[in-house]
Amino acid sequence: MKAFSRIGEAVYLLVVAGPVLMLALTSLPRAPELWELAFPRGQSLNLLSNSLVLATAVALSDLVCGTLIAVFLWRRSGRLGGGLRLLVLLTAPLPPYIHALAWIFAFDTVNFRALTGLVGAWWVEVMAYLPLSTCLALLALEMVQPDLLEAGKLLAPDQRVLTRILGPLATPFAAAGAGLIFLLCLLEYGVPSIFGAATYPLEIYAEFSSSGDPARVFFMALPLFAAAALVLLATFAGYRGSALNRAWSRPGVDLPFHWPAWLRWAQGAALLLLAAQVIVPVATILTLTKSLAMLGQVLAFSTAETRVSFQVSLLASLLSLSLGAVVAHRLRQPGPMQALWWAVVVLPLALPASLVGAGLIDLWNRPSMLALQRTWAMPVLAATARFAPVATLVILVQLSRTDPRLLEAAAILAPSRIRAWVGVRIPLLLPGLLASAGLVFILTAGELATTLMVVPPGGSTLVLKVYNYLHYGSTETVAALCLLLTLATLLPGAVVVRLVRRRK
Amino acid sequence: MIELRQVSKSYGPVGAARDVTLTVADGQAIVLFGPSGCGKTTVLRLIAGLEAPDCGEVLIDGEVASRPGWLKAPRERKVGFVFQTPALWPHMTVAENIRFGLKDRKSEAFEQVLGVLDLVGLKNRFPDELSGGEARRVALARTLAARPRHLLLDEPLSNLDLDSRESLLRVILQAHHESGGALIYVTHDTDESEAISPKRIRMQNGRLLQ
Amino acid sequence: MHAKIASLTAWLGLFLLLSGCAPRPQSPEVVVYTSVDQVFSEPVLKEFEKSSGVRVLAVYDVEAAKTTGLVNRLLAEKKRPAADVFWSGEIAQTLLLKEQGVLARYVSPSASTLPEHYRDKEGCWTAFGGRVRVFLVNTKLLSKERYPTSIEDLRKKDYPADKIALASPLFGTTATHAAALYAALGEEEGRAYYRDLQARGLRIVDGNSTVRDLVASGQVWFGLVDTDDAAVALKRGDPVAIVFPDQEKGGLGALSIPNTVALVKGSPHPTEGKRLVDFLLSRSVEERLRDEGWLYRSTRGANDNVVEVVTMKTSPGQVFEMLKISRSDMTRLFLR
Repeated sequence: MKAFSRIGEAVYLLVVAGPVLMLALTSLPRAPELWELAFPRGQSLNLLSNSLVLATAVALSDLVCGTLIAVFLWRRSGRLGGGLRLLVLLTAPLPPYIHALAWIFAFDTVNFRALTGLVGAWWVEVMAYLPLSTCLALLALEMVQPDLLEAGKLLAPDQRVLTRILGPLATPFAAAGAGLIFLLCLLEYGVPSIFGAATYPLEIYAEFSSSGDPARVFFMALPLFAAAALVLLATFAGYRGSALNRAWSRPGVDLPFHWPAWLRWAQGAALLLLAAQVIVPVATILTLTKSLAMLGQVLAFSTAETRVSFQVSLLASLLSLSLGAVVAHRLRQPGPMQALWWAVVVLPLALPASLVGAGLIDLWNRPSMLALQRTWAMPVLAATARFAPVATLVILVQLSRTDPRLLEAAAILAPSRIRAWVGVRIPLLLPGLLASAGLVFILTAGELATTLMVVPPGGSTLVLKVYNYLHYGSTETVAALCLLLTLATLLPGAVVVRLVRRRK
Repeated sequence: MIELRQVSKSYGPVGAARDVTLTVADGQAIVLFGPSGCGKTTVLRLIAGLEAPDCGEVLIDGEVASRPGWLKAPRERKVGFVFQTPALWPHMTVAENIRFGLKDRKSEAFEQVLGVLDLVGLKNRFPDELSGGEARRVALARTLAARPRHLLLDEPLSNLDLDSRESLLRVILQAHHESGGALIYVTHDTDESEAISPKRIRMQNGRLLQ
Repeated sequence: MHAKIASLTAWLGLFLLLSGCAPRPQSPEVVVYTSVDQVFSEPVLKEFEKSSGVRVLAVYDVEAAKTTGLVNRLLAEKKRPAADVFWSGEIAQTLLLKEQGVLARYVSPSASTLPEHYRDKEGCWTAFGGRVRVFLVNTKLLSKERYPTSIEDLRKKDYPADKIALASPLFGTTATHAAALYAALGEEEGRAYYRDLQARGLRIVDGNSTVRDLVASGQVWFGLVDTDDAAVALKRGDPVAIVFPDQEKGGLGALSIPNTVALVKGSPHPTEGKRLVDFLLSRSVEERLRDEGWLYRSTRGANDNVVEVVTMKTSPGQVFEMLKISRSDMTRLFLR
């Protein structure tokens, strides 16, 4: 068993940390000359603080809105609940850049032009990441054991149960979600660029495009790494490692909660935001697609891209899931290596995507690896390198919320390891595993910069195609492609949700 | 007084309580026993308002507290409920767990239960730092501190050693005596049930066999 | 335990990945990286495939990554290149690649008909055609006599600053334009010019296509775009007109940015690569690209339906020399 974990860890080091370590290895010898790039001053410092403020504001806003919506959806089963849950996911696969374009289009239509600069970027990013934060908050709520809530309901009003029991118990997972959104925003340059908001990643990007020197970019990205590490530390170290059993698959307890008026108002407002977040991009895309025939046409000349996007996303999410499970376990083992493993997990999250691409090429572009070079394995490896840390962190939260006694009991009682795994571990960890796989799938489907660096010549993904047509200004094609992207990502998601439901 | 009038509750095809009619007068204590899964816990949950009945009514102190589609909030029923598992909130200390239901943070009830249940030294510990027996004492203290009029106890002393069991039983009976309400006690244990009440009701397949 | 299964899954995943690799086809092929919009470049590459029998494997750049995505890829792949040919809609990036030693020497026979300053002295790249930096004017908002005629008009108070749009001068052809102005006006004057633009508060937007759409929808009066962006708007029937800046006698002229084609050093298929370079540099391809709107003018032969344009006299080398200075100025001025 140990040997297998070691192998898993080794694969993680190679696939996920490898590209980053290659970059570090080639960059660090130039430290004396480039070190000062890691300490932004003057204008760069302003840009960095803009970025931090933007990412923090987006993460907090999404935490609040996502939680409010999740509290509304929580325990709401049946048509309404199921329908709303699907609605939440509808726009998740669209890259934030597309959200931005849709919002600008919508605001232009009603002649509202006030959305610019950091505020504009904040608004669109909050909208674009709302599905993600809602899903994670929902998962967080569903993991709270019902008897803890019942014990509270016997003694105190619902509002108190909400703020003193449900809230604190759900916070760690929800906070991990906010931490994740913080990281995604921190590196995002497309949306701030559209709104003319000056942020640090744009400067990094400008530097990379003018010098083409990965080492310089590596040092410039170090402050982002520091910020990411701090945020994750705060997210994960700040709560008691309370073990809770899964509750998500228990039969629903018909215990109505009566929320106070302020909460219901706030929920109403958050639901309106959710509706806007869905309606604006979807309506824009549908308006611009104009006809079903257009969709058919685009599907006809994008079959290969659709298939490939799907395959790459699927493989990347499976690979990230397996590697994440191994390393999440490793992150929980105290010892001198623990901090190092944390760095290994966090670093890829804090590096600009195209830099990760350069690292990937550094690592894999060798004579012995020629077989890999021209295949779709490269984009899979690229997406895994970027997003396996996301899977790792989600699984880590799930692991730390699972009662170790249950796992120990399985280890003692199960006649075979496979049985312990299939019978106990997977079902206990299932919410986290599904969440991380789904997340990686969606993130991969929308990945652009790293994919461009390693996409096999002659091939393309749906997102690459979307961006290519964006420049040409063929809005109808772009809209139809976006529609296709949403469908191709969501259909498998809906199927999985169906299957899980049935199992329950 | 607690009254159930022809109350039924089922989970899907499984009938957990069938046509249950039961009256427990103020000052009275009864013991519910029967094989596992016979519906004892469901009856307690119906009284506490954690489940809504499919048909029938639950009355507490003469007022309707549950009927199909309508529930009075659990905390307004003046009932205390100790679960089979301690169900302590893992993010709160022992003191915070016990104080949770108290309106007056400095209530003497809090100090009193700490003393009576010998928890003074454990006040600042978290649930994961407690032994099984200690956790049960905290769960009982949490319920008693709120001074409920009626007590619903679901195997509250299982897995405890004889000494602790005897002392906790004394505490429970004392609390029942002081509140003057009804007490419903679920157990398999003959010694416990003898100590609680001579009135023992057997349940089977969701029905009361008086 | 779960680690065991997990790593098994990991290996299975890797296996699946590798088993998905198709065997390499035996037919001759060529790999091209291009930053020319796929709508324009793909048909040209298809035509090459048909006429030569060589399979073309292309990677198309994307706008959000501007043209730097593929340039960074070429730089990263320098030790073991995967591409044979780089076909850029620009020149600055090509010069950066040459400086970094990514490009091979190859003087194509098709290049002989091109003017001398369109050919690299060391033979590392060849340029052709040109996209011109032009004003795109909304014809409903500005009458003909009020059209801007010179880049100096961007500084003038006659036009409100929020009615003029410019793509971010940090990236793409707008960055090249800045470097060209630095080269033409001199560093000091160039810097002063952009400092003025920044101080005026023009609408700086994400890209040239955004400028085009702002003009077309009437949100701004005019903006600076490339001719291919303008062509899209004209084709759509938007109420816009193209104005070439600084056309008066002895004027500065408009900036024409040529396409460039280069062979990658150490490329896997040099023979096929050369054939593709020859093809791309042929007169017929240049004319085709002009007719479709990607290029404004052809370097060779008649440009019948095209207004003859006075272009800036700066050479690619001069522009590239200024690029580093101008880019750092632009970052300082416009990224705040």
